[in-house]
Amino acid sequence: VLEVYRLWGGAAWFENYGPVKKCLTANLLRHTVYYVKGNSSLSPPLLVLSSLADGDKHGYAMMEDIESFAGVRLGAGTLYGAITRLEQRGWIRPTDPVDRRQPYTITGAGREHLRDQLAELERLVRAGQRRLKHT
Amino acid sequence: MKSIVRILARLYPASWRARYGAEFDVLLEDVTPSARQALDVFLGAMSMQITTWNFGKIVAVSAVAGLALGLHRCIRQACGV
Repeated sequence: VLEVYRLWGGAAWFENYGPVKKCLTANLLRHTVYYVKGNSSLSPPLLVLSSLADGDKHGYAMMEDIESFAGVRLGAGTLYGAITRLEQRGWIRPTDPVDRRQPYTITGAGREHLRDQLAELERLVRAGQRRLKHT
Repeated sequence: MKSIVRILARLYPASWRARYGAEFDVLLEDVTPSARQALDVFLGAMSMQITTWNFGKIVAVSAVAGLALGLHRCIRQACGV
């Protein structure tokens, strides 16, 4: 593997790759992420917790709800990635299935985490707005 | 497109599919199939695969990827590109 890596040129290969190709690769990655995730700085787990704070919902209901209050349409893969992580951390848990659909509910720890996250965001928003006023 | 998304959903790890597979398939029936959805499911599957990999598998996959890139470079050099 090391021999092939040496032949390949190692790290020097990327430097010789050419600025145009490098720029195209970076742009392609950026556009792919934008295409899939949308232009949102909000994290999917935070959006899911915010959606469930209002009441129990299944996956599709969460997607619709998040789109209505945040203007972000989460993809199925992104949504279930967030659901998996949140359940592993004990911040959400499944409830009784309804018509093959699996609703989730926010736990006490999840509510506490959401409160902390929103307080942090609020501090950031206030600081940003205060600084914008001074410029 | 719906069948492509269904095939891509099979790329999730078996342990993940055992827990979430049924409800995920129901969700995929509800959403409008699109290229964006397909890409999102693919990236979700890859991300979930990587989180379930152990150190040995990460090293093995990195080695295969390095080998493939190296071979690509060798072929390019041999062809004088």
